[in-house]
Amino acid sequence: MKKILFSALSAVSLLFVQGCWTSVMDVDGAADGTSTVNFKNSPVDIKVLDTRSRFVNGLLQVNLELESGYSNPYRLEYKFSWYDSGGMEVDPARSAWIPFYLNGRETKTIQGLAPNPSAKAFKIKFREADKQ
Amino acid sequence: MELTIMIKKRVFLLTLISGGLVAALVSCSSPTVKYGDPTSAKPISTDFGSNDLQQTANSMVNSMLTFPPVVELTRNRRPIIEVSKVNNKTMQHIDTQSLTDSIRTKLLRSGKFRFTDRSSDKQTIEEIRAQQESGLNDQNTVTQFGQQYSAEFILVSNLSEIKQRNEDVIDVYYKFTMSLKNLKTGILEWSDEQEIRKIKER
Repeated sequence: MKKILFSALSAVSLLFVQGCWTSVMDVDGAADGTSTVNFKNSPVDIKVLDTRSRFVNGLLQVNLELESGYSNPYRLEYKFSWYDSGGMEVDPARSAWIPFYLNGRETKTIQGLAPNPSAKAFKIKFREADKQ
Repeated sequence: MELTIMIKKRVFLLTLISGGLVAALVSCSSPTVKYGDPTSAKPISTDFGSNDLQQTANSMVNSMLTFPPVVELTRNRRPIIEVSKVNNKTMQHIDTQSLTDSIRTKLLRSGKFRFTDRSSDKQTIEEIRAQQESGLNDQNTVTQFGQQYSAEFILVSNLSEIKQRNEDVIDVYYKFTMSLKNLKTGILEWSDEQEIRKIKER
């Protein structure tokens, strides 16, 4: 009985603490299309199926194909950050979190365009919308 | 004796867990004033909010900058654009100037366009008049009237809303349409739409 009480109290405590935390998954990429998925232990359950990039009129354009790991509808948010050849962030804090919606196991493409020609690399952060 | 120690241990453990729970509750629920993330996407109502503005500006700028005829147009020069006021067809009071300001800032910072600004004409005229008439300025450096460049293009836009509701659901659909019009020829060189749907459920 006491064990159950302790477990229940601990579980409730954890729930409250976790409810306040935000965890993100991010993808680092370069202009040549190579990319790395970081924080694989994040609760964000999506697969990055494909990453492509190209320059359009000198601006780095990125295309990501994603697949939901859930069989239910999934609300996420993503945000692009851009970096110059020296690794400095281009126009930091200007890009907004963009909500997007995936149906169960759906595959969807998201696109981003660098704010100016100095951007040569990118990072995309993902987080679950309902946790915000 | 042993019983007393056991009871004390349990009381201590219970106090520890309860304390943790209270700390977690207080940290999550106590009313505080804090700085928020200006780029947050969390919707508070079905009204047109800050993230809707950011999404719309982002989408329009990305679309325009990657549209092949616009890419061709900006390959070797920076065309001059004037941004007109948004035609707000919604039932809400929306600071549409803020939306067009964001679009203009993003386009300007892309390095592909230059802009004229009719909204600051009054101040510009006052400044040039002061330079010419106050007697304070070196006449060789005074700005003359009639020297400004004219816009070649104008960005025109509409924001409309369709609202549906029943007892449990409010469903609001927004559509922002923007076009780039050539002032000389009257031809629309680019146009795109951004749709946003916000649903409030009881």
